[in-house]
Order: sequence, then structure tokens, then C-alpha cells
Amino acid sequence: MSEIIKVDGLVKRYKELIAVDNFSMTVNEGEILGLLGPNGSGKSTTINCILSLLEFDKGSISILGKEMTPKAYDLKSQIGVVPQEVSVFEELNVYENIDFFCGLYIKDKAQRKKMVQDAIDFVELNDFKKFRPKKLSGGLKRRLNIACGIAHKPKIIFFDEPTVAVDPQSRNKILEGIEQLREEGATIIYTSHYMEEVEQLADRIIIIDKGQLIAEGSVDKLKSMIKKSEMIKIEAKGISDEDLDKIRKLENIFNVDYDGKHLKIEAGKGNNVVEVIKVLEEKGYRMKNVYSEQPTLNDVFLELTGKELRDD
Amino acid sequence: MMFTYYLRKALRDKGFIFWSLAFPLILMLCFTTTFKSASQGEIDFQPVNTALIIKSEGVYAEEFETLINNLADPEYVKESALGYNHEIMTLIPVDSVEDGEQKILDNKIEILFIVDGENEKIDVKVDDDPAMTTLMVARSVVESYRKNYALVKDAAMTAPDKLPQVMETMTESVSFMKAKTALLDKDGASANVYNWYFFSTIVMGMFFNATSGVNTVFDIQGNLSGYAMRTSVSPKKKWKILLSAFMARYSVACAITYFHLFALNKIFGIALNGRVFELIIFVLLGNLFSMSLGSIIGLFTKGEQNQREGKATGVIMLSVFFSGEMIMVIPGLFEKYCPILNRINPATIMNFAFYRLVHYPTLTGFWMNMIKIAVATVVFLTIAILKLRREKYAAI
Repeated sequence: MSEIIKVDGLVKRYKELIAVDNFSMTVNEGEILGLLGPNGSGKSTTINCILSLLEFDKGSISILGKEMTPKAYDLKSQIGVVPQEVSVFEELNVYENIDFFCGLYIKDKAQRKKMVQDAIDFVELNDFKKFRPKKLSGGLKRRLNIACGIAHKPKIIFFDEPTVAVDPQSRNKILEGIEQLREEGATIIYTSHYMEEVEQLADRIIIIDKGQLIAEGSVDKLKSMIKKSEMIKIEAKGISDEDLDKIRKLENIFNVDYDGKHLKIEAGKGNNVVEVIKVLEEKGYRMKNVYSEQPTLNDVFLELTGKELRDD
Repeated sequence: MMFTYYLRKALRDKGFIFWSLAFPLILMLCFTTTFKSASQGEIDFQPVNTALIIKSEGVYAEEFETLINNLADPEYVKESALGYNHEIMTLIPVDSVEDGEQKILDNKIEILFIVDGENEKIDVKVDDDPAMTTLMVARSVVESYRKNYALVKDAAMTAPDKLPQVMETMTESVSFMKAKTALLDKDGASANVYNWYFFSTIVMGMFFNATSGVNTVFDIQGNLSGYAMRTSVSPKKKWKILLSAFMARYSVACAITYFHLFALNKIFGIALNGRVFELIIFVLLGNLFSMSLGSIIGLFTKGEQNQREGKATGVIMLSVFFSGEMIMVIPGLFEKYCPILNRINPATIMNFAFYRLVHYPTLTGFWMNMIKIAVATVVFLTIAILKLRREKYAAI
């Protein structure tokens, strides 16, 4: 896969605040890159710098091997943007909005007509073509927002938190749509603070915090970077301190928490559940509901930064 | 394509259409209801009970008394060109100023004129809460007399035999529903003062288009709105987007003003003097000014779009208020106490331009006003364009 976007040593300051701090990244052709970080971590700022909307203090940005500038119209014509806010004209209906934004890229009327219809089909807004945005539900508005950004069939698409405040059904539709766009050949940069979405979609993830790159790689690679590989949860009453110590001493176990009923064990790689159950069975404890959970990206973020990723 | 959609956007902007198109029409309708019959001299008001005290004698007092007597003579008024078939005022005898004041309190008289012939001064006393007709009569009589007294004096001194004729002319020039504009303008225009309200409304309609300037800023500035951000990251050149968005709004704004002028002339019956070229310039420049002013407000104030539109509307309303849209005497008061305000207030400048365009035989004053507006427009537009054509922002 060839490198389609390259950001090198990007620095963006807002007076005293460093929003993006010597940030470098690459995006490969045809991949979905997840840019994951809490609110205010610098994701949108990075995207806006890449899009040449924001002035930055240091660094370089190139797209398709060329420097990205406000006047790089040939590059801009290959880019689609789905902003965080629903960014459409309230006075125009669904069809007109998509046609307007597609028209910024495509001059030919007949070609544009087909592209607009394709976009409407893609986001399933056929029944709402004549509706003004204010008549649409939140989820439908988000779909319109997406249609306006992708109608011209761009090579590179930036999705900036496209599922904020969207119901689960619409969210799934949006995520399915994004996967479909990748299948059709688009390269996608997807920013979100919803780790499940990024985990589900992204081929590669960049974790960003305070404008700095914290970690980078596939979901598995990121999870393998941390000590914790599973969380064991067992419901059992009356476990003595002595037995809890025994569990703590097991290989790969590095944290045990017990509230008199719920036992939570953080463990590294290994056959941990079997070992823990063995200890408890030997002592005759009655166990209910035994779970073993894989670490999440939040665990990765927590271990790398010392704080929770999710802030809502 | 962009122009068409920006045009549709403007035409579907209910707030803009209401304030720019409908509101001035509603106001004109209200003015017509209030003033039309008055402006045509159709109000058949009751004669106003009036008293006259001559404090000291002299030609000034003598001729004023003649004027009052003429206006109190039903036969004289009927035969005059005043357009009424009864006397304007009924003279009530009073013994002294105190007696007159008491009679005002007792509602026996409505106006008390106290004339100081030696010092050429007239005092007018009316009730605390006078009727509109009372005020109009009092003001028209005094103003007309003051304005024309030079002629009276001249006739009395140089050709006393012509004095009755001069007095007759002056009596007829006391046009109660057509008060002279001396308070507003000293150039000697002779026109219906109520037109000022209509002209002011046209100017107000144009100035409401400042919100279009704010709107254009939000259509263009990628750091202010999501849709502008979308247009900014597109391969369309910024100046093309700017031109399309601006021209769409500007076209609608100008079309609305032409429609207002059409309505003013054809529906509300206000003559526009047929100076088509100047009228076109007036409309084009007026709207360009208001949009450029709106752009500046949109660019340099803070807040959401509606907040910035609100600020633009506030500025416009203040300017329009100072131009006498609601209280016609305001420019006159400024002229007396702080004339600079009339010189720099855009709405007053535009009102005077319109007034001069319609009523004055020469257009020097009109063009002077237009030059002032043009200079301000060029300054505002230059600043706005320099800022709007930026493609990168310090913050989003």
C-alpha cells in the first residue's frame, strides 16, 4: 500500500496552548485509519491542518506526494470531508444540499445528477429528497451530512466524529456505509472518541492525546502493547484475604479487587481463568457468573496515559 | 450553479424576506393609513380654538395677527388654496397670558400664541397632552410665519401696497398637513414632509440587508460555519464562492428595493420624480453599502450567526432611528445641537439623498450624499474582501 497522506512534525499552538505537538503520521492508500483520542486531544485540529484550513506553526503535510496548501486545487478535488457538526444549508432541501456540495467538485450537470442520486441511494435518503434538514431526524441529518461529503466520490475521505449524538441504528448504518466506501476504494481517516467504533472499523489506529501521538498500530498490536490481556470477573461470596493473596501470587495476575461479592482480576497473557477457578474450587467457594473480557482500547489508553479515554 | 443555490437560499430565508421585504411594506401601509388622508389635505378636522396675545406691538406682531385672522375667517379659508371649507382656527378672546393659560387648563382653548412684536418672537403654549392636529396647526403657523416674515417685512418697508398679496400667499403657504421641511433642511425644498417617513422606510429596508452581509460572511468563512468549511476545502476558488454568495444576496436585496420603490410609487402614490438613472444608482449603492456594513459587523463581532445578525440589526435600527424613521424631528434636533451626527449617520445621509433626488431641482446634494456612501462602501468592502478571501485560519 502506498502512502497517501504524510504529516511530519506538525505543531499547532493557540497562544500558550499546544494543540498539536510534533505530530507525525502517515495514511496508506485504501485503509481506514482511526484517529482516536478524548475530546480536545487535537484530532480535529490535526484534520483541519491537513485540510489546509488551519495555519500551523511547524511541520509539513503532503497528500499524494504533493504539499497541501489552500491553493492545491488538484488535491482538494480528491478529498471529501464529513465534518463533526451537520454542515448543510437549512434553506435547501436534501437533494439541493447534496447537489450544491457535489457541484463544488463536479461541473458536468449530467454527471453530477448521477452522483447525487448515487449518494442519496448510498445513505438511503430517497424518501426524503425534498425535505429540508430541519424536518429530518438527527440520524437522517447525519446521513445527509455524509452524503454531502462523499457525493463527488473522493479518493480520500475525512470523517470527523460522524456519529456524535446518533441513535444506535443510524450509527450502525453509518459505520456500514463507511466500510462500503473503503471497499469501493476510498481511503478513510476516521476520528472519534468512541473506541468501539474505531475498533470495529479501523485497519490501523493512531491514539492521540494532548496533541501527541501515544500509540499506533492495528487493534491487536495496540492491545498487545499493554500488560493487561484480560479482565476476569467472578461472583463469589466470602473469599478470605488469605485466598485472595493466593490468587494475587498466581503467575500473570497483577491486580485483584474484591468487594465481598464481586471479584475482579486483571491478568496478563496465560491460562488465567482456569488457574483462578482452581484456587477457588479447592477452597469450596460457590461461584456464579464467571467472565473473561478482552482488553479494550480504553484499557490501552488508560495504561498508556493513566486516564480514561471515554469522557462522556 | 453556486449562484443559483445561494439565490434560492436567500429567497427561502424567511427572516430576511420578512425584515427586508415585508416589514417595510407593512410600515408603508401603516404610514399610508395614518398620513395619506392628511397628506392629501383630506382630514376634516375641527377648527382649533386659538387665542392670541400681543405682548408688544410692531410689524411682526401686526402681520402675525393678520395671518391668524385670515385663518380664523371661514370665507377667506374657503376661497384660498388651503383646501378646507371651514376656518382653520376659532379665535377665543383672552385678557392676559394668565387668562389664556387658565383657559388652556379649562380646555377652552388649545393654542395660545404670545407675540412679542418688538423682539420678533412668538411663544406658543399648548396643553400638556395636545392633539396631533393642535400641534400641527401651531407648528405650521409659526414655522411658516417665521420663514416668510422676511418677505412680509420687505413688503411692508418697500412696497406696502403689495403687503396684502404677500400675506395672502403666506396664508396659503401655511399648509397644515404639508409642514415645511425647514427643520430638516435649509435648502428650501418644498414637499410633503410625510414623504420623509416613506423614504426613511425605503432606506430602512435597504439597510436591513446588512444581515445579508453577515450571512455572506458565514457562507464564506470556513472558521465560522460548517458549510463554509466545506466550501473552503473544495477545489472552488475562494473569490468565485465569495462573488456567488455576495451577488446572490445583493441581487435579491436590490430587487426588493426596486419592488419597494414600485410599491411606493404605484400603490402608495408617492411621486418619485422620474430620475431613473439616479434612482438606480441610489438603490445599487445603498444596498452595496448595507451589505458591506453587514459584512464588517459579521467579521468583527463575536457570537453565533443570529447573534451577529442581531448586532447588525441593532446598528441599523439605531442609524434609522437617528434618521427620523420613528420620530421625524430627530434629524432636526441633531441639525440644531450636533449637526455632525446628521453628516455621518448613513441612514440620514441616504434619507437626504433620496429626498433631494425626488424633490430638489438640482442634484448636487444628492451626489454629495452618494459620494459619502460610496466612500464608506469602498472602505468597508475592501476590508471585508481582504479578510474574506483568506483561506487559512488561525483558529476554527
